[in-house]
Amino acid sequence: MSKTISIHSFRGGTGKSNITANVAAMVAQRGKRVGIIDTDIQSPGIHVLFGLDEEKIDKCLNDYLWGKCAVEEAAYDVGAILKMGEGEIAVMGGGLYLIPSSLKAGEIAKVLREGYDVGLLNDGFRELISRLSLDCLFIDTHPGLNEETLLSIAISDVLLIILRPDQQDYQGTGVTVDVARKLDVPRMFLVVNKVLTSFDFAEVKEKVEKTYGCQVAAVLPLSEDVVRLASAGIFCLRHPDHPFTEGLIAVANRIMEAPS
Amino acid sequence: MKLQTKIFLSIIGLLVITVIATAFVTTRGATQSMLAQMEEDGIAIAQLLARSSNFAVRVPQQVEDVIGDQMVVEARIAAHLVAVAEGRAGMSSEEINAILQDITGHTVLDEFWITDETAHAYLRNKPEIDFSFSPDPEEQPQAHVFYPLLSQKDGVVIQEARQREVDPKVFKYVGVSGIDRPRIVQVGYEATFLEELSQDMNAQRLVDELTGQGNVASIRVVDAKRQNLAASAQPIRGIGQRLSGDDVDLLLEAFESKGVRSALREDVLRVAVPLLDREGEVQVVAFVYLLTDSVRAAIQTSIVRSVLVSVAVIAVGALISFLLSSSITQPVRKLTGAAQAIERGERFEPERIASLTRARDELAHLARVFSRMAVEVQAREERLKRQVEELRIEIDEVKKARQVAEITDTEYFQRLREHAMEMRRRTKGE
Repeated sequence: MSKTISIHSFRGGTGKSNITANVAAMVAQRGKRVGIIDTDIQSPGIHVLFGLDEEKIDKCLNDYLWGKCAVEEAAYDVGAILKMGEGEIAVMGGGLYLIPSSLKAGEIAKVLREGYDVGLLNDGFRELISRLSLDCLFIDTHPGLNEETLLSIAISDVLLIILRPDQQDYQGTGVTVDVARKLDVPRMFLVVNKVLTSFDFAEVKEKVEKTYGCQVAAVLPLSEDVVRLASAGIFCLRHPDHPFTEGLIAVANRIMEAPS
Repeated sequence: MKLQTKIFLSIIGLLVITVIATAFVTTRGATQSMLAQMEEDGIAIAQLLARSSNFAVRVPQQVEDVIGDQMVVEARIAAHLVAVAEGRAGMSSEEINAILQDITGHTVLDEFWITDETAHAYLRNKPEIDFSFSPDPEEQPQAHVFYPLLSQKDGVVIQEARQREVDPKVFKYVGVSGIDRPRIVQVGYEATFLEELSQDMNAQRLVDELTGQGNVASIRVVDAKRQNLAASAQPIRGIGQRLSGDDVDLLLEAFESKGVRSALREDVLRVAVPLLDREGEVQVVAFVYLLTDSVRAAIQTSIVRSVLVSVAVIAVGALISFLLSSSITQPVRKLTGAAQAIERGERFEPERIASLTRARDELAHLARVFSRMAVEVQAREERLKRQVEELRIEIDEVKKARQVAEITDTEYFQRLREHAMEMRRRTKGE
């Protein structure tokens, strides 16, 4: 049984793409076959984290959805090119595929608005999953709640909402949680990122869970090391014992849990 | 190792080193000075012996010289007496011999032998002995030296006192030439007292008296020919009875250097002292063997004493260093306790270590810094706790409801929701 996981945040800059890439890599390391779809059209950047050269991308998600190519043609095996540290190559147990997004995503919205069948889209995703024999499909969504984001949320088995300890994020997250509930997303977790280390994380977790009535998968620290690495690589591979990585492991564990 | 043990052992270690070094230096110094004192004593004894030996050689010689001079006077008077008695007074030989017998009978002078031109002693105080001088040394080993006086004018012969050929008596003879005609005028004097004087002056007696006194084990007085002038007849433990190679070396050194030489071998200190004459030549060397037993006993006593004192000092030092080390580590233990309490999450009370902060030393400084730090950390912790408490998540419910409605009220959303539900149903159904 494969899983579709959407990662969302109400506003940009929450570290959403970074968390997606790291958690996907971790799951792949555990021997699962993992796919990542980048739908963050306005700032498509996840391919940079995996060191995927833009020049080499000629087919993308849109092309597949429009029937211009087969699903395998839009998927790039990034597991083989991941670097852990100096000269070390990470071995992804199952496989790690990235389906980058096209800048022509506006056309998808148009198609959707003009009566694109969500059921068919779902069939498309399912086809993708079956062609690549994926165990997990991660969808890196665009911030905010536009139509394609709502679509991603609607078809997900698991929704991960990333927020920062920030008043605007609190408000937006409240909206997302409510909308997701209306879409009957089976499992939903919050991840609080960029939390000052001076805070008591347990207390933060408790407070956030109480506010939204939703489980917090992890409270991740604001880390200089994360900033330093920036988009140069997958953090958890470079710093396997870092507190940030420990938080990510908790997130991966929650995702992989069997649905209750 | 505990800090207290470290401090304790360091102090004790230093103390032991100091005490042992001091005891060693003191004992060694005492030994050296005792040996030096002993050497001084040996030198004094040896010098005394050397002087008296020299004296014993010199004085009898001087006495004999004086006697010889006096005997020349006596012989000269006798020569004149004979000339006057025979020539002027026309006295017979018997009458003259009677005078000579009277002189020898009433004075210390013992013999007169007065000859004619043929060297026949026709005038003499002992008429029973008929004697003639001969120039032949084989015939008369002692008397022949006087024969040349017969042909000399104013000749004088002074012979050393010696044992006579005819009997064991020691005699001194002096002869002069005749006044009136060629004659040998000889006077004889029994000089046994010179032998006695020589013996009285001899160092041997002093040597025997000194041997066995104090530390003196044996004494030897040697002349320039390296012959014993005196030596202990009964040396203690037989020490110095025979000259060892080392002894000979030491003697030679003393002779050559003309200075005092000494050497310590096993438990015998040997001192060689040369005595110089007026020309600066070594005449005799006194060689004294001194026993160092008493020094050794004194050293042992002083070692025992210094060991006892050292043990006492170290015991007192151990007590003091124990007190000192515990006084140093006690504040450290208290501080550790306070730190552990903070680690356990207990609230830090500065009063708990207030007693440690009053002194002016480094530990008190540490305690003050620690106290300030703990209070500071505690305050910061409390501030952080408050900060977390201030983490308020405020959501404008009205605004949120409006924002949610803006999305959910759209036709798209309604359709999406229906499709999603349908899709899930389809998935479940599979």
